[in-house]
Amino acid sequence: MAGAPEIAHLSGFGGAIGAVLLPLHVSLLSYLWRAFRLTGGSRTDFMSAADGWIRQAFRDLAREKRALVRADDRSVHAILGRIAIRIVAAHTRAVCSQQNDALYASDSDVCPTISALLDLLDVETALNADPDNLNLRRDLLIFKLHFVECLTPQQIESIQSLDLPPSSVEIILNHLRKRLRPRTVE
Amino acid sequence: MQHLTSETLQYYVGGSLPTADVFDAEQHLALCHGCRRELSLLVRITSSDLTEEEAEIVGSVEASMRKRPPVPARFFPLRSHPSSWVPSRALFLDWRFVTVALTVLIAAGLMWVKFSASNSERGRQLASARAFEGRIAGHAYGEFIRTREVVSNEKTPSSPLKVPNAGNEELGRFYLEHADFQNAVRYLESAKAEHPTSLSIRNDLGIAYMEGSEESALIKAVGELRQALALNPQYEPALFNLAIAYERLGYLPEAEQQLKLYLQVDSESAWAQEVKSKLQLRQHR
Repeated sequence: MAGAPEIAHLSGFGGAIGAVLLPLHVSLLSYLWRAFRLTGGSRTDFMSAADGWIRQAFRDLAREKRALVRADDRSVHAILGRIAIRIVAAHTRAVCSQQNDALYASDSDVCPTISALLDLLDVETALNADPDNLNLRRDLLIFKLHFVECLTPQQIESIQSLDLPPSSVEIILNHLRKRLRPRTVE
Repeated sequence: MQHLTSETLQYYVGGSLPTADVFDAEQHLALCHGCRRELSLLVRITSSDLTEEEAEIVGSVEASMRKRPPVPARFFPLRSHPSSWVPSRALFLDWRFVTVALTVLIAAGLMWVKFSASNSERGRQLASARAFEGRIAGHAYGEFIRTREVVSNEKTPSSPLKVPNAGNEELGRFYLEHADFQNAVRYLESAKAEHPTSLSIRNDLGIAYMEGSEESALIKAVGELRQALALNPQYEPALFNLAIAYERLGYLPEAEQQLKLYLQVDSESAWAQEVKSKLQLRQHR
């Protein structure tokens, strides 16, 4: 197995951009492991597959050189995450089609009770009826990301396009809870 | 309903989705469970918090990489030229292999010349010599003439280190000066957490990574030194050390470029003379 520098060279990353990407090696490995673990993959299997996956990931990154040059830190990690998911999904698809569903299903199955409750309670209608709510879609998305998908407020804040200052998700969620409480009482 | 592609989700998470598309994406995500699930997976996977278990797994994988012999890049067929792979020729024609061998030979020759000088001269040199190639922040110049093994021999059980009662930064630097890189990394990482914008801490942490026994730590060293230079592009110790780190990683053109950058900032000091020597060595190859 080659080390990261060899892999970076091999993938056409020789030069300065290779040096920029090398510190991301650890992140890439952890993203691959997180994705693989969600499919029920074992540590032993990961250890044997990691070499090939890292190699594949760097090849995929080589195709995205142009995007990488202009990307900021968070964007680069998002690219790495997408590539890691794609690689693990392709692997599990090849091994067993049922496992592939697990990659996407395992997250939302964490809190099925709340999910079921939200089906009963039409949150969107409730928020729509709130004349003070100027940002319905975004608030609804934040609400569902937290209560249905079980993302933490910090994870939600890490989504750059939401452009949220620190601790604002907690404030939004508290605000939504208060707004929804009368509705749930009804 | 048109679902969001994985690229769109990536742009959305990374903040590079055009503003006009953000509203549409959020509208869709609020209503589409499938796309929201993919988004949450991407966010969860790229979370910056590395758990102990994850760190341990990643460390194990990196360790297994190190156990296997490093293979020159040209041993692998490049995708665009699969037919050009000839292992036996690649081994002998790889210029990096040749330059590294030449560097070792020249360095060994220089060391032999220095060590064959008189004992008093050697003693005088050793008194002001630095223990490793890296440049600690705030340290005066000392010639680099000793190997790491010589230094480590000094750490015998009969002469334990007298550890000062000080903060993380001072302790980290203390261990670094005594070539105890493991402890140096431990304290300097804590110091970095306390003072994330400190150039000297990042520089010294870079050296501790670089001089430690773990080869993969070179990557971390590059990261720290680049961070220091991002804070101050003219920070001399980081410029100096980054050149060494690149050289050890095999990025020789980048190492040379870094040395030249150093000379733009400092062209007179004893450090600059060492940099010039390194450049001359490279140009003679």
